Amino acid sequence: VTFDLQSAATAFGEEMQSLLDGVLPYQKGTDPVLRQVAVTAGNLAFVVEIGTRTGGQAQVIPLLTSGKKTAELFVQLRLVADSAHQFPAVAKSKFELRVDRLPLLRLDFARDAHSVPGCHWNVHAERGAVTRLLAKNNPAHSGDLSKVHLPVGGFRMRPCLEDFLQLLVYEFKFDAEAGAQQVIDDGRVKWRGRQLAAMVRDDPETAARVLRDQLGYHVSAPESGPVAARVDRLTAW
Amino acid sequence: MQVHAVFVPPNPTALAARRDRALASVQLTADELHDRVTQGKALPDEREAWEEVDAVNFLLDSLAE
Repeated sequence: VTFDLQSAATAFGEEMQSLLDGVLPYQKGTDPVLRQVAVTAGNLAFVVEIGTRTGGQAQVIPLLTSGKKTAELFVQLRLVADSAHQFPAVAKSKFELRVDRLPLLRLDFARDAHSVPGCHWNVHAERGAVTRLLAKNNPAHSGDLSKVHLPVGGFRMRPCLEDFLQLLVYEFKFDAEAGAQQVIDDGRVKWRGRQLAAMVRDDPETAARVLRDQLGYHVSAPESGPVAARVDRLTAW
Repeated sequence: MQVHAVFVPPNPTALAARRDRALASVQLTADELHDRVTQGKALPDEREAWEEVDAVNFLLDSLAE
């Protein structure tokens, strides 16, 4: 592990710790270390999860209603070195709302997914009409709504952890820290800035055209010529 | 009280032990566990065990590269 990559992965973990702690209150009487973000290293790969340093295995974060646990949040991310081996990039992530250890909502991301959208929601609920429709049109499908992968805009435009946390706080009304919205907003601005930068690299000519034609910037192609769009990224489901 | 994130350095022995603990907790092999998860038959403790095994395998694969 290079020093820079290790530092970047640790900074990623610390940023996630600050986000979670700024939004979700700790449950009284439980060991705070079980909510510690742990960044476990492989070679050029890292797993970011909760409480493994002390708990021995990945822990969930209790979601509270008036101070009492009513549900759980599971968060796990896998980081790999980017192509330049300079920064950690998310290769896989899993955010789950669980009740009694069973998932209700899942937001999964896998950068190398092919048969399903790279990022998708799974809704663990039943709806007869969905099952009937799947049975009629796609007999190979189990018919379970939870096995339907709801796409969210490819991996550049996917929701961030901040979006998931806001869902928990604003729709499900779990207990939140004072100032949670500011923490969520700040994190979301950072996230979208990073994703936007990645999208500019995916399609530099579109970025240059907007800057030049609509915003009055002076932007020109490099001497080596225009940088081609990453069509694989732009077409990713 | 709040905590700070922690960096856990590479340790193949500790990772393998973590995977073995997860498998022992459900008394299944990694392949059996994977099958139960992909077939949608996994119980909550089996899902959790698979999350452990899968994450650890990801790290061990990385260390073997």
